[in-house]
Amino acid sequence: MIDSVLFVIGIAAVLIGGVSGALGTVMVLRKRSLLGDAIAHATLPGVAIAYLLFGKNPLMLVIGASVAGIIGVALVVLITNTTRLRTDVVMGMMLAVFFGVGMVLLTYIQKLPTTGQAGLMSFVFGQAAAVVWDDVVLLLVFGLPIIGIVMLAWPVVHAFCFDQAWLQARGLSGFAVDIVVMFLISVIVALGLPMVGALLMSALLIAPAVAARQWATSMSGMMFLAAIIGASCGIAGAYVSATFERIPTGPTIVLLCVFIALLSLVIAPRWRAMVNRGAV
Amino acid sequence: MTMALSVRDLTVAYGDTPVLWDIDADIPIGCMAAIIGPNGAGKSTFIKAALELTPKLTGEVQFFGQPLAAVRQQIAYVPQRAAIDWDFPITVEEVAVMGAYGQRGWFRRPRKEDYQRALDSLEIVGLGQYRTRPIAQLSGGQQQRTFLARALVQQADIWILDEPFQGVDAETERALVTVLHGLKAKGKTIIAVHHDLQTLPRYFDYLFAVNARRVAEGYIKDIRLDEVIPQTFSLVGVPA
Amino acid sequence: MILFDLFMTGVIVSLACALPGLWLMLRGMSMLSDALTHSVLLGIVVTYLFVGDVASPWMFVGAVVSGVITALFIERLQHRKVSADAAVGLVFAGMFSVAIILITQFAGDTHLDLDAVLLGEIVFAPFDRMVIAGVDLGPRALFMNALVFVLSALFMWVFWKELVFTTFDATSAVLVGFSPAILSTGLVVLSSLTVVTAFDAVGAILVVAFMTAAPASAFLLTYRLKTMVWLTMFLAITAALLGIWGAMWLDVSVSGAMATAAGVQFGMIWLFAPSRGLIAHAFERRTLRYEVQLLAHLMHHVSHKHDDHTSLAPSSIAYVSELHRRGWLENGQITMAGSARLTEVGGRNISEA
Repeated sequence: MIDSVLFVIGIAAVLIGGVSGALGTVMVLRKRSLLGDAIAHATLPGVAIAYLLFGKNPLMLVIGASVAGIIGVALVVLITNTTRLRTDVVMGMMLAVFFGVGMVLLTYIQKLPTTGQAGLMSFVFGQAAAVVWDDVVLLLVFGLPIIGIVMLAWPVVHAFCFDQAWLQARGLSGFAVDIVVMFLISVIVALGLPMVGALLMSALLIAPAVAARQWATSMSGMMFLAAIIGASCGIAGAYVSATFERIPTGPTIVLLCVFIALLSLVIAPRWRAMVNRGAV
Repeated sequence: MTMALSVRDLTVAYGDTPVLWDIDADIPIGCMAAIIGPNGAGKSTFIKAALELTPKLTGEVQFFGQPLAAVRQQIAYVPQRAAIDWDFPITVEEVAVMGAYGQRGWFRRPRKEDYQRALDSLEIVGLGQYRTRPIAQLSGGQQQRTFLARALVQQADIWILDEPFQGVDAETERALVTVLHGLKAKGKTIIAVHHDLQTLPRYFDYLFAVNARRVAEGYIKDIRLDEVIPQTFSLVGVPA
Repeated sequence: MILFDLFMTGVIVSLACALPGLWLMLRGMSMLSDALTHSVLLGIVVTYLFVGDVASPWMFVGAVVSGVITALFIERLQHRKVSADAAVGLVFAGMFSVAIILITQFAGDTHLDLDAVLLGEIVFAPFDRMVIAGVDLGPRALFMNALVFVLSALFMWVFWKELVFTTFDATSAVLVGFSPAILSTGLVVLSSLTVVTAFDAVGAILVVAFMTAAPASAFLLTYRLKTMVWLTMFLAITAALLGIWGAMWLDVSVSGAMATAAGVQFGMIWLFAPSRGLIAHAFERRTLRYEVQLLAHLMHHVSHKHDDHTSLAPSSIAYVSELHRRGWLENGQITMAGSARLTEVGGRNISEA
């Protein structure tokens, strides 16, 4: 018998794993791995503010998180471009400060005489058990169109990663595409918060893509493989977490993805070498 | 006869790609030598490998007949501008006095005479009035001259410069050449990676032409530049 | 007295983090602090599993060891410079995941719960006293962090010229016999100690805030290193004081407030710093543009003159008066007679400008 709760969690895990794997491909190819981490940490104040204004409305929480994430990244870009400070220190600072702001807001909220705010802490670590159908709906409503956008705009995405000149030749600004991608990633991060939490979301974006990169020969192949890996780890992680006692879902999914990624990094070169030698 | 820099069988590779192949060199003391060659053909790599800043596959290098470790303090190195962090919060005179750090060694502070030498060197290169300026505020040429002052403070016997005239204004170039020729007159050896073939015979008296392999070496007055230069720049790297 | 202890502890933690943070920033290694918090957490959890007692001194040892090991590990990878960045990030994510899983599995309801780990809770610090031979020396966190701060300051003082040299021009430093690697290792070990010690008081994420915000703010205010060091320390203190005071006033997380204060402080400095702040820059750019326009206008006339005098159209009189106001043109170089004329002398001066 399929437990309906398990079903919900499973679907959510598959969706978020798949979508982040796919979009994460763009980040990895553009060597922007830290970006996801920055966005994820920045979402927290957004979640808190959204809660203060709208209560525990999943849609508004996602919107709040996305907006905060975008603002965080925009600030990093702005500060880096207007000062002599390097990206690493600005990003580290922004990560932590936004998180601190989020914490301040959260502890403020916890003092309010309302119930149901304890769940906000779950946005930090993720709590799959608290994932409800509403979250899945949001994932479908936002996640699938994102995939759709990527597929429809495939030539643009491909050029963005490999051939900026192609973009320029068509009068498309690489900068604009960059912004759109960052926006999409913010949304995905926001969508993943309930399940995986802010701290681990970036790993969920990167790990499947890093793994896929070792095996795929084309960008579309890489993206497809990353989505598959993400989704599989999602469902596996959800299953393990549901089956065994006291194993949180988010970290389990991430751990699986990371394991596969590291394994791929180690095995794939050797596999290729063996193939080249004709041994396989 | 002791050479300032003596190299045998130097081979350097990045990964699987050989950059320098079987290089020999004998650069005499007291000359002003230019290392020329096409971009990416190993000019900078040659110096870096000799100075053990880059690993080499094979080869022996000697300075004044001795290994690098024995003569470190006698070598002044002026790196490429791209290698420096120009945003670092440091003033001109602080950079200059760095030249004395090697002699002081670990832990010890620079002495009064080191500071004095730094000031004197800055005067020599024409930066006396800029001594308390942060280097981030200087022009490219002034930054280059600061490094020259640093090398002067070191009181080294051999100077190795990587593209010293790259991207500097005319005034700086003149100052550089004046200082370098002055050093040569005192018996110091200058070795510089150089890119401007026009000024080559005017500034330098010794040539080392490299394009993965040594193409030519010798005093410029003894070399047919009109043959050697085309030869250097037309070879296509290392035969497989 | 308790309140005093709280403020003192907060200030000391902030200081202890800022000092190594400054050098990490100068060497471009700021993200190390983030990585360290992840791995230190795992170290703490694993040690706890072996030792079983949160208050045991072994916890500290375990944390430091794991911090140092990971720091050295990253150091090695820096030299390999493969696309190790992504791999390193993944390793830390993995370690963090394992740590969280372990905590949830085993720690249950002990002191080692997730909230505390992330946030620390400095509010409890004054109650956790350091007692040696029956003498109460004050809050343990205060003592430990002060120790680490002194250690950092000592390290910086002893190795000052080595740090400066190897950070600014590592290549030349290697050549004359110094070792950037040794200094990096030392700095990284120091950072691990700092992270572990501050962890207890302010939690994982916020250590990063203190290691980045004060140094970044100081960086914007000065071009001189010595000044930067003092400024960093001063700003660390002010952010801490502001944060704790704010937290008391609003009754919110103290470490969160401290981090927020540090961020706000940076923001103010970024916007308003004299001559280097954002607003000053915008103003400077507009002025510069205007001056360039003036110059261009006059260059145009100088290069187009056919005889000794060039006449300027009346609309240009505004430009010329502006130049006069700025002292670029002395009397005798401009004659205003209906339309202004540039004398030859004036023309030459312009060419030189």
